[in-house]
Amino acid sequence: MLKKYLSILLTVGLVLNLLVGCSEKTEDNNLSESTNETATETTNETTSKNDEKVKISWFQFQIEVAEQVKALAKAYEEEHPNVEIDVEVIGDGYFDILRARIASGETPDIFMTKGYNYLDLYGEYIEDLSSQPFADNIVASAKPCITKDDNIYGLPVQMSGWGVIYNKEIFEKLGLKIPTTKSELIEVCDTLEKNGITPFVNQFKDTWLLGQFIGTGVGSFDNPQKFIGDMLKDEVTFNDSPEMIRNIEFLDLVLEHGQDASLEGDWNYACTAMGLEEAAMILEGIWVYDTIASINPDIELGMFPVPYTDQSEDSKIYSDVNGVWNVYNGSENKEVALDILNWITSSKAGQQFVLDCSFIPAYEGFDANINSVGQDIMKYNSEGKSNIWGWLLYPSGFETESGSIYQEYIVNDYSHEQTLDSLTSKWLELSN
Amino acid sequence: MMKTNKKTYILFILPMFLPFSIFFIIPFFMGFYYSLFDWNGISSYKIFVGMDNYIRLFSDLKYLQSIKFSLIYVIMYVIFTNILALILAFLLDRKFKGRNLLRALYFLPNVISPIIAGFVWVFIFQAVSKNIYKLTQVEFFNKSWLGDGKLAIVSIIIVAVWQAVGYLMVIYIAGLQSIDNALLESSSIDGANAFAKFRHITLPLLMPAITVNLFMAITQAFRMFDLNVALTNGGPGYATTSVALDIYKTAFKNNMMGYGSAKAIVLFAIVFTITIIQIKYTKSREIEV
Repeated sequence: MLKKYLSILLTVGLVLNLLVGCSEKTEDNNLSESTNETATETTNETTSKNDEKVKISWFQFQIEVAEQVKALAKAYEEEHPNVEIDVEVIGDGYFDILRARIASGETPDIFMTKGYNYLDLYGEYIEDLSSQPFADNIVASAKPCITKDDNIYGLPVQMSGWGVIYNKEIFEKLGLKIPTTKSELIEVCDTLEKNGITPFVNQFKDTWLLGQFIGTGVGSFDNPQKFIGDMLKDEVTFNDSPEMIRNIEFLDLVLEHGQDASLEGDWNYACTAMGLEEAAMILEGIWVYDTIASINPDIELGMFPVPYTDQSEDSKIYSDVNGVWNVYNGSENKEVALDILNWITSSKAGQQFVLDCSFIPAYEGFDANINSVGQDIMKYNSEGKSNIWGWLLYPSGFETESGSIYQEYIVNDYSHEQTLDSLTSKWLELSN
Repeated sequence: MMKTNKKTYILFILPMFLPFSIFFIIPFFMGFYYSLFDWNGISSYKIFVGMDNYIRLFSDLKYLQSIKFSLIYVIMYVIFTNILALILAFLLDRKFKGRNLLRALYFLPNVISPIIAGFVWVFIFQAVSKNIYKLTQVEFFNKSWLGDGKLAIVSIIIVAVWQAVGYLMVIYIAGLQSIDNALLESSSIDGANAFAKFRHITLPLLMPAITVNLFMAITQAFRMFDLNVALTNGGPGYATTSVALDIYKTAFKNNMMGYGSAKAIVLFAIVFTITIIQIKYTKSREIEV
């Protein structure tokens, strides 16, 4: 008897498991249906927006500022009590999940992209923002990233920078000046090595980092779009570009003056080496600052331009928009989403947000509360010694695939020519 | 006397079959559908290209290289996990104090998520190994476990076998325990030595367990993904890119969903063929006493 009851119970439990997935959905449907009913009941002349809560879904990557973004959303909710913002912050796999949302018809009202080619990739779903008030407030150096066909399609989140991040204390102790040419850099490396310090820690296990390094080559072109266009027509290859040739030559330099196991270095390895002051320099972006500082809170870091050649005019940092907010053009609450973006660039809370995140502001007239690396970036930006982030012009997938190609070069000792040809054909393959 | 009631049969299978069809069968047919299109996975329009994706993948060097890597990996994985699991099963079949504790310890790595295991081993291969070298100056610890193209596959095998051995060992132990001791004893009386006993009694009677374990090892090895991403992410270069990783990158990183789906269907065909042959062969060797 007991056995029979037990087996029936277990079977019922198993079957109920199936229904768990379904039940949540129906509950949600019931809830929204009831709010609609109450809304229509109490509607007067004004739109129903004022009576029921407007729900905005906000999809965000950049987990390092997750808390600040959520606080920002809360501030907007407090000023606009009829709006409820659901902020979702995703790290790895952000674009996979965004893609899944779009495919299932749940495109978020506000979502982030990286601008440039992403405006084409997601073009079907992005609202034209040229007529918005904030469009005039954006700094000039942020415009290329969010502009397509002379129209603005996104609100930049922050400016960011990439270059040689260095340990200021070590440089000062050894009496080293910032190198502005390649030969000066080699001298700096020699001095560091004589004093038992690894000049460069190379984060080359991370293919995306190598992809960004290659992107500084592309970002140095006089006219990147034209070169890319010609390359797609098979008229030029990367071997015809002096900027790409000197890029792979610079790779040789940092490998020679970098840690022994060049392909073992990933994010943790590199930040640890910098934090423990075993290495003095790293090719990276400002975003490593917090991780390194968490290992060594007293460390003093700065950034200087990458000295690609023996002409100091060629030394540039790479600065561009890091993250763009887009509005879904099919959103039911488009006006509210647009209002949120405008509010970010015009409200006190928006200004506080930029300070809290230690962003380099992408909007005119904003104050900045940035670390020493950020200050160097702003300095070089204002001196005009910066280029765009070439890797934002890549076809999808090229960032990591190009990194893999450089890794193969390092492991197999291919020639420069062969490697640049591989990069060219991979670019063409991914642009099909 | 039991009456096989067909209706009861179906009712029992239904709770499992429902999620199985939602999460495996339907997506499989959807995947086949997508493989006939040129689609980037994002836009709402796709271009029908028929069998073009399939024709393309036969000349895709990186894809073929990843299949080669996966085949080598599968062979190494299946051999090492099964031999080690069998040895452990024998050792832990005898009665001794602490046997259950040891069984649990060997099984423990299997419980950890492969991603976490991967990250822990990255730390071991990079930081711990280097520090042991600093202390002992033994050259073995100075190797670039994850940065050397030829050594990286060995590193992945080490972690994968470490994780999987416990699970296969449990199945082998169950198989060993189902063998009647009387058979082994009577063969001893007839003058059989340990090797003969193993070859003529244990092995044939263990075949059901071997069928299961080989099948699981083969399919696990082909599906290996989390470890791959956590340890090497396919690198250095493309040296440790398994076919599962290549498909993922094609479909989701390079935004070629149709092409990636075609690659996935071909992978299915390969694994299906191999496992069918394997099961047919080992099942035919099963003996029921």
